[in-house]
Amino acid sequence: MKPTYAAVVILIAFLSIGCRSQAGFIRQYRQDLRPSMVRGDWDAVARSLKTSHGVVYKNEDRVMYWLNRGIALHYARKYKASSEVLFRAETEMQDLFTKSISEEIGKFVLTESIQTYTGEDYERTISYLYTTLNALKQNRLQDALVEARRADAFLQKMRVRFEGKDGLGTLYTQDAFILWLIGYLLEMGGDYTDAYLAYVDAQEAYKKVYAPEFGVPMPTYLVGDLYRAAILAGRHDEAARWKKENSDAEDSYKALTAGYAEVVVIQGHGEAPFKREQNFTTPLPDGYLLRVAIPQIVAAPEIKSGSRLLLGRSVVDFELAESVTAIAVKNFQKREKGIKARAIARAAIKFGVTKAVSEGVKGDASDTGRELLGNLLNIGGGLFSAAVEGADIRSWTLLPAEFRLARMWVPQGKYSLQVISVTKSGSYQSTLFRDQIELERGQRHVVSVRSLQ
Amino acid sequence: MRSSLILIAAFFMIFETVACSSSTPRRVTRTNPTSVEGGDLSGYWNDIDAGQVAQTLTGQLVGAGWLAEHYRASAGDERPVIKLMGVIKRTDDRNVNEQFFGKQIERFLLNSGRVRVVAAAGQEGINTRERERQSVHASDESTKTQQNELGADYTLQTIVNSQNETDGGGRSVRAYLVNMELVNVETQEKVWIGEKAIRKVIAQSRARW
Repeated sequence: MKPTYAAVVILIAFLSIGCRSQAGFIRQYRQDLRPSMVRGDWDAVARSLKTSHGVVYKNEDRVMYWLNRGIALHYARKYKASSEVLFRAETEMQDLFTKSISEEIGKFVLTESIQTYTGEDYERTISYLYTTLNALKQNRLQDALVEARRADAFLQKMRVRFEGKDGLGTLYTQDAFILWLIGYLLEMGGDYTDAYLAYVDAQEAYKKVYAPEFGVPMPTYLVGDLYRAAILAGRHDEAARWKKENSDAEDSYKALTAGYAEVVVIQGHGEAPFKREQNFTTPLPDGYLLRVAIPQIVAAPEIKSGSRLLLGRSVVDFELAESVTAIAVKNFQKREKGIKARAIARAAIKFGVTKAVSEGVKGDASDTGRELLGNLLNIGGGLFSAAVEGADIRSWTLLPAEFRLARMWVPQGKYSLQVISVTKSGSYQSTLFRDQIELERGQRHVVSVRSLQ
Repeated sequence: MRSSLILIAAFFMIFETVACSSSTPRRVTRTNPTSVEGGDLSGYWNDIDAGQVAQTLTGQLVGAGWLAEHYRASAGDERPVIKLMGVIKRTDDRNVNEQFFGKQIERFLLNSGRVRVVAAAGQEGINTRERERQSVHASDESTKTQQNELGADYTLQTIVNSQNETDGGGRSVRAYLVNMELVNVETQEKVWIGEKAIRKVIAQSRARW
């Protein structure tokens, strides 16, 4: 083999290694973090993530990195730092609305994971849950309201984008849980009319999208919110309608006017689904190595336990508010055909280009040197395309599988707060969270809890 | 033959550059604080908005009829005492820094020379605590007395509202409406309301190289 031929083969091999996808490393890294997450040692998770930038998470994975670090810092109770990194994630996601044509070409002809990860709509919406909670935990109600309004603006944008398109490409057109959160924050800020309208939107999103598509019915507490906000906003006719729907609707308003404090516990539970690569590799008769890689989404084992809030002597069960698993899995299924078609088209393009180049080099086959180089290019091209072919299996890996909510109105005073895990039949399993709190008259106290098992 | 090799190498190098490039050079240019160089980078509220709005609204405030009315009512040349009640954010814009904006308002009001400004809401405690400390630790001659604060004649509240519209894609409009309300502390009468609107059209391209 002439030195120039060898140089081409080495170049191809080098480039193939250089461009290898990071997704596999990220998946493994997630597994490495898991023991700390199970122990609830979010400090350790956050510390580890800090050193992973540029090592596990490359530049094209930066949105994932900021999202994962943001959630780890939140549960490590480093709220200011958590918001700072989540703001960076949001800025990146906004900037990445502008698609890189070179990356798009790369995605189509080389590999899906060449493209910078832009984050899913639901991931961006849920990031506002954490920035809102971060601001609340720092006693910055004004900033929490800004975050809630920001979430609202993003959901409005989604509404306009999907209006009349019959949910083109997605089932997730609104986020009922975040709409509820927006309403709750606006109510805390005294914007009763806007709060009421957000609760109405949340109620509609639960009935029209969440219940039929994601199997999440409207939580029972929402009717109480609707009634209370309607009364506070002076919409008495509408309040009467909500009371008719549920006779308990006025309980929370009565508690509020009696000066009771409210405790709201938002529990992130379980593990969000993850993606893995399924690939088919087969050598063709002429030596070309054909490889097609497509992502698959895998839900974590079904969550069978429930949760219960104990506040002093009062007890209430948690209700499901958002199923991240259902949103991620069903949305992925909706897009799966397109992803598969793109992977097959990409394999065909790579094969076609390699074939054309190798045939061009071979010429009329009268020169054995050229023929040898053509064959080498065919094999090398196949190896190269097989090496770079990879499915995009990135996602916000540290998200919980679901969010549950428990709420309770109690008189001011000191309380022992516990979140426990219970079996389906209601028997005690384990204590997930414990705290001592002191509530003032009329206070709204929001607690964020994370559990894995 | 040679040209084919060069072509192939160039082909792979282009992809390598596309796939693996990441560094972005950074350049910093120092400007005058009042400069508008750089302009609007994101479409959100920025230092230019804060400066322009503070200057416009405080200019309206010290040039409005309530001031003459105050002099007439107080039958003298005592400048009115204003207490700043802070900035309320009714917006989705986290770039609105109420401290930064509040300080601009305070500076323009003081520098106008037409009004007196007392410590803003939330800042009074610093001096109260200092006087308490002085009463224990400072010499009798230098201790500042309690109950000698300058009472405000008016309170000034600033509210930043914003409203957005979007096409669901890359085009959006961000409108800010900043209101200031001056309220007579004694009578609770609103004696002046100022308003300044800002409108920005933001277009984000769908594609870049």
